[in-house]
Amino acid sequence: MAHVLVSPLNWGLGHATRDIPVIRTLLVHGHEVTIAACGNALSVLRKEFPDCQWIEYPDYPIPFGSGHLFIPKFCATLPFLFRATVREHATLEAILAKDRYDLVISDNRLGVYSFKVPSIFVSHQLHYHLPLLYWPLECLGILINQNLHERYDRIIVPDNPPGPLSLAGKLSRPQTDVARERVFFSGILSGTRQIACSQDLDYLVVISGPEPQRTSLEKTILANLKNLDGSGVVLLGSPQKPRALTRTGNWTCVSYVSTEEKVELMNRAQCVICRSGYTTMMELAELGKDRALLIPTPGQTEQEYLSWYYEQNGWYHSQDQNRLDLKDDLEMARRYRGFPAMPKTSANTSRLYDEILAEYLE
Amino acid sequence: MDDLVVSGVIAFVIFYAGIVLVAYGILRLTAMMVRAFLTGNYLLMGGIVACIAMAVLLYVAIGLWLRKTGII
Repeated sequence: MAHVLVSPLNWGLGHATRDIPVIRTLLVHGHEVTIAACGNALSVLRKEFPDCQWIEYPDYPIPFGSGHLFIPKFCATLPFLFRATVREHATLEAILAKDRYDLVISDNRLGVYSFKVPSIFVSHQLHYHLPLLYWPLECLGILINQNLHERYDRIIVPDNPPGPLSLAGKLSRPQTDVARERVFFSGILSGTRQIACSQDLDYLVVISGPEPQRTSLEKTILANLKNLDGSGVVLLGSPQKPRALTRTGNWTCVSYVSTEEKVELMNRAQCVICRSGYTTMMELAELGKDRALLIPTPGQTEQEYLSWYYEQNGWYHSQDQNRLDLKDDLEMARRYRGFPAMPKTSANTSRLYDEILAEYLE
Repeated sequence: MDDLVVSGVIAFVIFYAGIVLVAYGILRLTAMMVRAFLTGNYLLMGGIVACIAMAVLLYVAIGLWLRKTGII
């Protein structure tokens, strides 16, 4: 039995939730898993795996809000992010000195690697997309990524290989020899699952993202609901508020729901209206949802790129938050065909274990 | 010293030096244009504006080419 340290980044719950199937697979094969994370990411994984050991392992807050000054603000905070990464790496060495570990899995935590213990990096972003005018920074990003990827034995990309089934498009394309030598395309990894239920909800609206964009989207969506026929649920994504449920006609608004309730609602929904974050996209793919309307968080270049990419492929319709007209946009969304059929999480995690993880653990 | 620190510091020095150089260049050009305008040297001013326009076009063209060829 081997001992694995799994450490997801706590920038939203996406990193933690996509690690759930990986951790489950490790446990099924009889290995010991220690979860090293912080905040909501740690809470979710502790709840999901109550028998696993855990370590409170601080990372760093998202160093920017979203908006049109996203990139300049991000550049200004880079030194602080770098210092936090150096500290994160020092903390990892201290953790590894206290116990025996056979493998370290870092989900997008750049300081979580070791030259003493095999280290695996999980990321769907081998390439950072920026607006055209920032192309020198995009080139610089390739060099920085190359330097960071060299520190890992393997890179697991939770996406299909480049080609017609790729969900992340150019973001997951390896562009350096360092990345090409290490990359393994595992296919989608999602914490959600299909459950047997009827699709009795016309719409599920998931409002999320950093403030003030979350509130801005909430206002736009709520103002648009009266124009829609059918029933639906709006998840406001406000866990800091007391859980409240309000009904307006056929619509129900909930301040937040548990992970289990969200899985059920996504299964019941015929159409999902949500941000175009990559983890949510993997959930749509896992559940085989062919109807969705995507609203990228303004200023978040990754979401803006994915929205554009899905439009180009005819998979999902996207609309800017400031130009959203739910009635028209949902009508438009009917013309898109959803993601093509692809291998699901359970098959992908089995392959990931057999072809990559087993080499370090057995 | 950890090589993460070394490579990070080098990257930051290059990155911020680049920003300072670009900002300095913009300031110098602006100062030249203002001086040319105040002294009535409109030919020089026009030349600077034309150079800036060409540089911007070239910059955008390189970006488009990098996108088109899939390098970025």
